[in-house]
Amino acid sequence: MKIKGLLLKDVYELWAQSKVLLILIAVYLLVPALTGGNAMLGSVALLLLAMLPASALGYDERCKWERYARAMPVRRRDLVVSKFLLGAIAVACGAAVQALAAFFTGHTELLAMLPVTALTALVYLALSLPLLFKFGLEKGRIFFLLLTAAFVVFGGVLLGWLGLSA
Amino acid sequence: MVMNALEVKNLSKSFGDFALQDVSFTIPMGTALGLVGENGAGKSTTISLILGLLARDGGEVTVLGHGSGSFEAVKEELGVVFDESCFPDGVNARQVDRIEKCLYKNWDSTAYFEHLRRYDLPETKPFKEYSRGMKMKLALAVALSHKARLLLLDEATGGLDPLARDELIGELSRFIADGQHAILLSSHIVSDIEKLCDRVVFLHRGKLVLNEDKDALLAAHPGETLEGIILDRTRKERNA
Repeated sequence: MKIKGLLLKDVYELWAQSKVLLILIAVYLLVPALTGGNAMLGSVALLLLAMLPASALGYDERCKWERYARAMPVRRRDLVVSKFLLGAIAVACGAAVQALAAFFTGHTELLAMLPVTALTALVYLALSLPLLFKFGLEKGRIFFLLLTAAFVVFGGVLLGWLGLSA
Repeated sequence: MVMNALEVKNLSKSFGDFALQDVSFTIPMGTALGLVGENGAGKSTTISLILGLLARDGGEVTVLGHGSGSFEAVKEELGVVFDESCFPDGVNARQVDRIEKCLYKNWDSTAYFEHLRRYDLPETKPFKEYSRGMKMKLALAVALSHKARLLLLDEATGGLDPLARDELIGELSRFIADGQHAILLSSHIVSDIEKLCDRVVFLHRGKLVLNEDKDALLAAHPGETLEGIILDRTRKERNA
């Protein structure tokens, strides 16, 4: 129940503050299925979804939300779990949208790489959030950027290897 | 016997250049205690230590009968307002109702929306368009809408205009009038503390300088306001 409250707060906040990004992600999710190409965009969209908890954490830091929430019946563990869950749900929804779009447009060849990119996004989430929780957004940012760069390069190589590059 | 809403005994915490030393006070149910002091005197540190947001170096804190071991359970019964800590900017007051419904077992939506109306707070305006005073009123509405028994208000009257402050003090007086509730109010605005509080604790550079019954203090300094007395003490401490 508490996690639901924390997730709601993040969803409201992200929708209000990052509408453009969310719409862009939605477009990226749909383009591969609609065009039958540009598979890379779909992968980028999943990675962007995995970054949403970091954005939410940034908004939290700006208003010192953690201090306020900890004075409510919310444990630090709840705050951490809710951010992981936010990322996992976002990636899962993104993957589901991509799968449905590919299915309905008949581009089922796109489904082959979806598990790999979704898993990559989840691994990215699992590696980036602990860094941000440990060091905070300011200090964690440099690790965060290095990790992101590594994943983009890794993603490119992986897609090339799979023969599905944009 | 009257139960103590809050007991703070020999609370200590040191940072690099600041130390809160041996601070003790109690707040019986049905009373309000005012925590006064300059910026950096240790008021917010004291409140953070009470809430367990900072680890203390020494001392004991008992909140509504619970020691630090069982403290999480007692947070349901605490209403907290911080000076600079609130909901993120994109959220609005109506969404806060849906969020808090999940966070507090005793959340009372009817009471919450009543407070919003009374404080004239727009329900669908995102908080980035709220003024500091409006954010503070929102936090107060939250603090008063889940059947809290103890309010911890950190500089909660700071962002309000005089009329709003006066109304708030009236509301807080009614809150403790039944003897089942208590308030800790930290503030620079000594006149608010004079109006509301039964006891005054004065911190200076992390040390407790004064912990006295307000009426006794005023009686001992005839013709003076609490603000005058506190200012005198501040000057004395600075020169000491």
